[in-house]
Amino acid sequence: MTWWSRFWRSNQLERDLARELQFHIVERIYALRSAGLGEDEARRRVRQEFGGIEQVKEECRTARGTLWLESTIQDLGYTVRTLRRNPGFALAAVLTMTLGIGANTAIFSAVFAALLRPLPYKEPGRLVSISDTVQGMKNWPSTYPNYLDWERQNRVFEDIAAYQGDSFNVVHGSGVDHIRAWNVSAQFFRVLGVQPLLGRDLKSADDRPSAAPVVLLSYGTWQKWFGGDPGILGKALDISGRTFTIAGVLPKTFRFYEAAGLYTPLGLEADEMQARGSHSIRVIGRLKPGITVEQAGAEMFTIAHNLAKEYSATNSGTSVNVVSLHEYLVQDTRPALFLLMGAVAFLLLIACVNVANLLLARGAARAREMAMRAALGAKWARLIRQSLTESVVLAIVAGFLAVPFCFWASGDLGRLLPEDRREMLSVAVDGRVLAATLLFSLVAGVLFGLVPAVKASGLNLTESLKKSGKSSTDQTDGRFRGALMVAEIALALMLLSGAGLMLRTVRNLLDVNAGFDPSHLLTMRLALSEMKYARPAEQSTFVREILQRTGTLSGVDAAAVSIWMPFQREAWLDAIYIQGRPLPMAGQFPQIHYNVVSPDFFRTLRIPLLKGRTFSESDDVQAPWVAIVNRAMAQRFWHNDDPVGKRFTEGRPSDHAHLLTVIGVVGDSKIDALDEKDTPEFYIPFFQAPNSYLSLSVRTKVDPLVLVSAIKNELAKVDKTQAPYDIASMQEVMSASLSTRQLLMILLAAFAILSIVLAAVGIYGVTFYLTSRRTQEIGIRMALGAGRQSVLALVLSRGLALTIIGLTIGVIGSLFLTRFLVVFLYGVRPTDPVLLAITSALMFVVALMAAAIPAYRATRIDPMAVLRYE
Amino acid sequence: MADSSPKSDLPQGTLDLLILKIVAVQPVHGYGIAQRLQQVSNDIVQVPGGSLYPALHRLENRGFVKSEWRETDTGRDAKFYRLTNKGRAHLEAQSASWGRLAEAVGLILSLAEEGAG
Repeated sequence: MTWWSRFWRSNQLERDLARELQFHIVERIYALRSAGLGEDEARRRVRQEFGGIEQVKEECRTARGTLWLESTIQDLGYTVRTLRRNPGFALAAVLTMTLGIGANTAIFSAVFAALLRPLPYKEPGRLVSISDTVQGMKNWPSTYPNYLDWERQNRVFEDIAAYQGDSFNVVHGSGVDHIRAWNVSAQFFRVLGVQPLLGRDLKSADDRPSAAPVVLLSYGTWQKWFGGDPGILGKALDISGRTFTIAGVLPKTFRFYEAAGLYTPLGLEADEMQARGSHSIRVIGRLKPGITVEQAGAEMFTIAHNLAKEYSATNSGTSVNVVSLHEYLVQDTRPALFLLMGAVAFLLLIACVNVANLLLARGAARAREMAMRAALGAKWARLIRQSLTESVVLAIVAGFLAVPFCFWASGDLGRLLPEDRREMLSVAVDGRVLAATLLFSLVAGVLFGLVPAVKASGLNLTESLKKSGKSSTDQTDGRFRGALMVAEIALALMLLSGAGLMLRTVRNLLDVNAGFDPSHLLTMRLALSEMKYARPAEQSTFVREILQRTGTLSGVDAAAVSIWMPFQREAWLDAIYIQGRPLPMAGQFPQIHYNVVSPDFFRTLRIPLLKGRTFSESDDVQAPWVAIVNRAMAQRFWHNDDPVGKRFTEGRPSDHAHLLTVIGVVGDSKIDALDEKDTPEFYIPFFQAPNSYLSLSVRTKVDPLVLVSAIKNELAKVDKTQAPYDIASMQEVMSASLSTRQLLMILLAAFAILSIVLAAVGIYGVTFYLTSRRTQEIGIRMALGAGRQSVLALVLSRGLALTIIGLTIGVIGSLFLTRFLVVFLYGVRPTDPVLLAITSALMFVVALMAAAIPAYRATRIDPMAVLRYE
Repeated sequence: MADSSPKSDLPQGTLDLLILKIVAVQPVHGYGIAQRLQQVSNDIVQVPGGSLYPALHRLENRGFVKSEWRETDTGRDAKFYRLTNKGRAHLEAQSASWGRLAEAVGLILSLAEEGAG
């Protein structure tokens, strides 16, 4: 019979075997009876002669060379049955492992994706970012004239390209939209190695102010506005009042930072970018084959140095930094991701400890069962294989449950990355990581299964069959489990400390006074088309009209216009020079934030006026040039003197800069983040320096979002071709700025809670185990007159000792490890003693409660029952 | 009817050999083999079911015997074993070496002992 036909017919074979042996027995009984023995006597003798029938069957099966597959299936059946009988154990084990595997896969996928996965461009290893270092500050944008010189002078790059973020109002077939765009130089797509899907790439001829404007559409825009119509090439598009020709469409999979809808040639604006000191563009490059980043960096350093000498007015103090593009994109995500990896490794450790505990307990409980089976003739190898099957089954089930868990978790994990990079550094469940984790769970299953099985095989059979048997393995068992308990407590405490720190941080940040009132404040942006609103007078008129209309809407308290709003990373800066002070060296002028605001701005945002007056309608182009400073600026430049009446220039004195007179001082407000230190800032009146980039802010009596459509209607009445965008309540914007920290806090808190639960379960289990081992002793003591309290003390003493050891290790570990959180913390030290004390106390209480239950049950032991059972 | 003569504990290879020989005579079921072994050896060789059946299944696994279910004379169904060609060859080889071994043992055992009369 072939092996596999035997497999299929195994049921048949079992029946055969039973029949065969039965035949022998019957015949033998018959023979004995014919020889004169009584029925019972005959049966007894035959049984004696034959030996144990099950044993014989087992031997025959082995002799038959039972298949590995056959016995595995048997094992599986057995495993399923035993697990069903112990649902608590199975559930605990599976949940713990699912958590460990799922969390690890999700987070390592995220880390892998963000830190390791190559960017989605051709030969991404050769892509670099080239940025300015100004007065020691790195990662500054560059300037267009410098970029042109770099292009001409370098010998290390195959190509370099400049890009600049922008946004436009576009009139297309289906309406008007405000859309984000990148203004890029002609080589941009060549640098990235991207070919258009339709049409053509940009040419150098397009990249000039005199060129006929062309535009490339993103795939999404092409679908959304034109339904994917291939005939749109060559058609015209009204972009901010100017007519562009559609030259091409980009591939579906192309991503660059945020999803931009259009790509226009940077060179169209070349005339406006002649100021060598205006840092408004960013540069990427592709290294020539064989050139390293360091070599490129050295060359660019030299070029920058020469430019600084040649154009000392603008370039002195400016150097250039070259880093790989990947590094440039991920550098500020590293801390969060590493922190997470650490935390999840902890969780995994705790999960492993718990599962080990669970399986050990199982092993102990099944020691008798195993001993019995061994006495009945099962081989040890078979028994080991059987208990391995159990843990492998658990591990596989956990692995599969972990898969949907991963997908769910990694969706949210995307929020760890800065918003504009989420598409490029896509956090998805990585197939390889998942496969690795499933493999890991399998290995874990085998390892965990081996431990109790091997221990069981070392059991002295007769000892374990006797219930009261206390073999030496019990001792080591207890010690091992005690060690596990200590480890769990320590780990749980460390996670709890981390969570506590993040909680305090987030609370501190939410309590921070932003300097203005963010509630009931609506913001939106407008980018006036340059063609239509080229002149300041037109811009002013527009703004006056929208303010007038918006301000009179019911439900609106006040409305104002500024260039930018806080927390949106759009802040403007410029050099200033205080009149009467010594002239700083070129490149040493202080760079100060400033905003251009309508008169009601401070009232709308509720920024307090501390001295002097705010702007009024009469502060327009015919009036003297004025400015308002905030307290930080007053403090920095005029110390305790009254700044009102003092003068300074915005821009360097040689740039035809206006001399501004300070007319008032307002309170400080945050510019981009809640954890900023107070930053100097000044304001100039909008009607003295109008602009086409606007932020409209509206103070509402009701929920701001309720008024959105009413406000949009009013804006449309003034000019329906200017579409507002980025419409949000200030609260939304501010909480978005906290999102990374909040996510970390939630994750750490979740891990901490889980680890506490696991630790509590572990403590309960250990105490239970220890007391069950000592029921006899307890019974005797109670019979001899020991009271409840002393029994409790006896039982708890070991547990308490272990808890204290665990807490000590945990505290030391916390002191050591929480320093990795420093970069996220605000208002709390990583070694905050109060926090440590609170978390330790919490853990202690949890441990105490977990141990108390089985301890209490120990005191309820009826000594007579125990002794009798002996 | 207690057995007075000690049962022989047969090493496994020997048991296989004996079984093959019994089966070679004619196809027979497991009980029949036990009976024959006992009869022919005058009760010296008594094989308990616990050794016999595993041995039979082992032999079948190795292809020396083949089994089929048949009716006995008494009308009951039993599993009969038959020798295969492979089994016959193995039997002949093993018998020959057993014979040589028995002879050698006999020669050594009949050596005159020192001091014997």
